[in-house]
Amino acid sequence: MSGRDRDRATGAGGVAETGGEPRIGRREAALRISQAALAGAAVAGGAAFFAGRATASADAPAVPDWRVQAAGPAARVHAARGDDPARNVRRVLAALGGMEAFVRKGDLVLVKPNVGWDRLPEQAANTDPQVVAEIVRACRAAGAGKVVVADLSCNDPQRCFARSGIRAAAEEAGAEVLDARQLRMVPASIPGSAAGLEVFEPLLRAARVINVPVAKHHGLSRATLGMKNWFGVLGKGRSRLHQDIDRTVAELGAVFRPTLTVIDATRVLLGNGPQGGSLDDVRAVGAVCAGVDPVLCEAWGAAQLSLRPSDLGFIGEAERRGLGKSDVALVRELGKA
Amino acid sequence: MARLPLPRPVHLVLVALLAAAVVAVLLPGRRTRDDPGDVLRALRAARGPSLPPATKVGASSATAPARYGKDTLADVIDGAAERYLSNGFVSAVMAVYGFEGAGGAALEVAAEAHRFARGEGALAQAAAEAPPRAAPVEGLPGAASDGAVLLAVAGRDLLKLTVLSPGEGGPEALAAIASAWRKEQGP
Repeated sequence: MSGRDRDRATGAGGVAETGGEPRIGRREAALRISQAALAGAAVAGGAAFFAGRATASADAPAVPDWRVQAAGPAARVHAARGDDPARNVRRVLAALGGMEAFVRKGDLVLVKPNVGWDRLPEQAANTDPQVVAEIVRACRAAGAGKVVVADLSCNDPQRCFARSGIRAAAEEAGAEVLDARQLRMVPASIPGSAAGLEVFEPLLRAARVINVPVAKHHGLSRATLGMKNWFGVLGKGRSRLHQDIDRTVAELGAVFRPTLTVIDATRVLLGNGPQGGSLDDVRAVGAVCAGVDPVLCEAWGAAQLSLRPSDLGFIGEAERRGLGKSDVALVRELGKA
Repeated sequence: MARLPLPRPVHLVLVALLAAAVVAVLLPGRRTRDDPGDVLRALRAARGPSLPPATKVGASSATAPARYGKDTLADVIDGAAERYLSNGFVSAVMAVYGFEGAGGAALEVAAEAHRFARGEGALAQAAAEAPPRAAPVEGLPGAASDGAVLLAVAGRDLLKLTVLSPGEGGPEALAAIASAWRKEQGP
């Protein structure tokens, strides 16, 4: 039987049933071999791709854990209210045992406010400059060797740092404000959705990191608080993280473990966030909270936006990961002064 | 002697199409621009958004203009680019002017000119960027400022100026740049 005859015998399906035994024709065999080769190539390619990513991540330096074992009062998060943002900061820090409980003499301290937009303080799109300045002063008073303030803005950083008032306030308080355009970006070992993204280099050198976000509305995640503020240390490609934002925000909270979180609710942006613009969207709350439980700070921040912790998917996700508690009742309110 | 065949209707149609094609090619070339200013403006519009030179705004220096397109805007405003793109952003040019301030203090102004696909896009972006207390600027139609930021729209282009350093002379510097820019845009 010639090959042509065999092919003809197998028919369209390419498999002939003769005497109960399936026989594979030449065409069918070629088809199956091609399919197997394609599948093999796909698997090998995928393995090589992910192996490459894993290798790159493993080679990169780890993100330090900046937490300290606070020897202060039992409450992990304190909140203060009043018309003077600097005074609110001083009160919550005092309740936590003072900045000396967190910053050692000679430390390089990095303060990470939210300076995402070229908006005025009254528009509440950025951290209040008085809050940032008071934290800088507290770090300097505690003996910090150097205090740097940095953020990778969403808008032009020169404009953002100028319009927000943060450059002038932080420099006057004794900090060096890093020029975002000059920051060297370096790889860091970050698992999860942000794998492969770079961070600005001073972050990895800092002995202590203080996260100072503003509480405000966000169109995708409903709110942006402390953990979302870590977007501002990430380099090119961070926009992709918005695709699964609740999971990503919690992942960032697990990677970046600050010495202290200070949430600014001097003014909160209740709509059209994160950029805002209209003063109609801004509510003066006059409050600040600080603590060593970033999830509890997050829950308190949500409450300032009239949201429950359960309204924000990333808070539940972070709590499930063991990053902190979300019961706002655990926050010690110091009252108004 | 053989007679030439008479033209058929299809031949007439082909000749008519050929004539139409010739007219379509030649007619635009016959248009003239009597005003050299029109030619200049047409050339500028084709070149993209522009910023006036430092010498024309009274500045002592200006950084080299940096140009951005749709694919590179996020390199400079990663996170803010989305709104620009949704408003029909086409391209931008950015620079920082330096002015000798009073008492030797330097005044810096960030300047950016954005080109949008349509004038509506430029107006929408200007509205989104406007400071809360921006007021119209005298002598500059389509411009608004709060003294530290100035926004102006001309056609499809948006000019945004921001004083980067506190100090005297900010509003005057903004007005000088905006006025020179406005003149370059033409009527």
